[in-house]
Amino acid sequence: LIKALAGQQQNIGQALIDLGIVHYARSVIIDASARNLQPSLPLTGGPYSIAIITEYDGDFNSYIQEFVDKIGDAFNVVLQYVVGGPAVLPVQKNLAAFQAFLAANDMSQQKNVPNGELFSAYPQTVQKILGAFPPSLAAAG
Amino acid sequence: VSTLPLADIQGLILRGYRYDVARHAIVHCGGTAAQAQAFLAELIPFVTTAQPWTTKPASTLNIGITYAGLVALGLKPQPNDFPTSFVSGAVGQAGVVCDIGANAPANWAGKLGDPDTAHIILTFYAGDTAVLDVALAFWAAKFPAYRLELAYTIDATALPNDGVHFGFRDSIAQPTIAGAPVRKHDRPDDQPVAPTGEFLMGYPSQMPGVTYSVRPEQLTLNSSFGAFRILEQDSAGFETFLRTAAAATKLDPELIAAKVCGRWRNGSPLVLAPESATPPVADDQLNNFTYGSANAGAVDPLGIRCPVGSHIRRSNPRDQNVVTSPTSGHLHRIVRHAMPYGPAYTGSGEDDGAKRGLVGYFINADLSNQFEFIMNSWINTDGFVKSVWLPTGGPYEGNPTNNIDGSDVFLGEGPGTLRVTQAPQQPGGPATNTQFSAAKQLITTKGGAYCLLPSITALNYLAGGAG
Repeated sequence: LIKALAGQQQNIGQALIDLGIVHYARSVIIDASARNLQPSLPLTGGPYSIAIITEYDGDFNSYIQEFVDKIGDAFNVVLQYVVGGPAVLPVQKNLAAFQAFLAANDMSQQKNVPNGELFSAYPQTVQKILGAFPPSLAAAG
Repeated sequence: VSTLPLADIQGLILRGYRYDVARHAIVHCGGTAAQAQAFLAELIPFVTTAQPWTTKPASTLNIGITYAGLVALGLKPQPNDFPTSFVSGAVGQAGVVCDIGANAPANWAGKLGDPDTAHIILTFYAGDTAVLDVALAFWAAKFPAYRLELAYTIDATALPNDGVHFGFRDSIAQPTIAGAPVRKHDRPDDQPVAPTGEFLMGYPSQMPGVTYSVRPEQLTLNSSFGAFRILEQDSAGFETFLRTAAAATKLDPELIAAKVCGRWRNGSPLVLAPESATPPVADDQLNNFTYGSANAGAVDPLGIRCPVGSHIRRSNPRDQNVVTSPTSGHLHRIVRHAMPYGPAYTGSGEDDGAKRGLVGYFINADLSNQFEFIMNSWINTDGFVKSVWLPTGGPYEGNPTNNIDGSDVFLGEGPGTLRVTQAPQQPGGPATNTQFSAAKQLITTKGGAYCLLPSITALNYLAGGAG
């Protein structure tokens, strides 16, 4: 999984630039057998979870199709290693099932647990922010 | 000449009928599945398909079926058999398309706010109301025997010169669909031809590897989806807005009207006619324009002619660079098959007490990626415009993201906002904006229903009770 993720980093970066709605994105591996959940090498603990954490503009479901078009192959690689993942592969051809899989595993969509709160220091979208800083300033900043 | 099986495709998906009146009858199935199926079986031979006419019929008949309607017809859908938006329906998806506040289903006409009201929508087009009366009466006479209830009807009446309330010429921009018959009044635009699969299920869509489908598979090929909408328009509010904004800015109210829409009221697009509605742009050129982003020679990347936040540029950004991909402006098209209802407004800002608006279908193969996307990602937000710094081939300093704010003045939820962008005073200076905010929301959703627009094959399957 780690190799697969590393192999996708460049594609993911370009796809996120094209999408233009994601402020921040990261993925972290969590080791359920470690008291602080931090994995250590070699990976002999487990079971492991992967958390994909993104802050984005707009309604995710409305962008799902172009999201899958741009970044679906990265999910096809990663989901091979995830419980329940292979059933929704390839995600491009199983959009409804993939959406249902995401909804079921999306911490911010679980109504009965207090994981839905998100603080944001500003209301602007990614594009409004990029549009506020001319390129020379953006590069310097 | 069409390569598609037109006799299997409902006519309103691919054709503009061009009649003067229409009636939508919302039907609830109160009996058994077998009764609903038997009614459908009677109806099917009379459904108007996309086949060319030899003589224009006195009236047309088309049918839309909601998810609740499919269940009433005896279908027992499994999870993921149908797209989530369709299953959820117009009421369930209200939050997604900003049917909130005044637009909320609780305020809808004809109990459409109850998702179990609308099962079948029968849509008739005709030359006059008397023909509509005869056509509906013919079918309504059968309702008691099949335990069907006529829940609501709404009539539409064409206004002169393809007009819509607010006084604009409409029905100009429609996607060109691969394989579809050439429309009599087509005004092809500069956008790529839309794959058949964007408007009919069972054909490859524009998304690589994606062919929209439902289960059972008999319902897929040549079927489509329609968002049925009743949109009430506040004509007095629009005229008041124009007068107030004109008084505050010393601009011509007709110029402000054009900036809100992106076209003058006669249909001439601002991109081609930035200064004046006259002389009007030639009919076959009304849709022949682009906006451009950072591409060299782009005609209007910053919205100095046609505001970035104008109605037609939000709802159909064409070649403008928008989020998710530089070509995304081409990827969310809809066929508009709607007509005005209510009397023409002739006042200059005073409320005449009449109800008026637009009613009909917004047609697409994927409600989520087309109709809903336009409503929630373009009409009701300002963050979809990609940041493009000019000049990089463009004529003026600035960035189009600065030239849009809030939601569409026409169709946005809540009072909309428009930024009218002016060219810089000196070369190299920044483009500047004059901002208008409407005092109130001008178009209010008064009803909605998401319908499958089944192929004839699909209708026969449903009528046969195979579900």
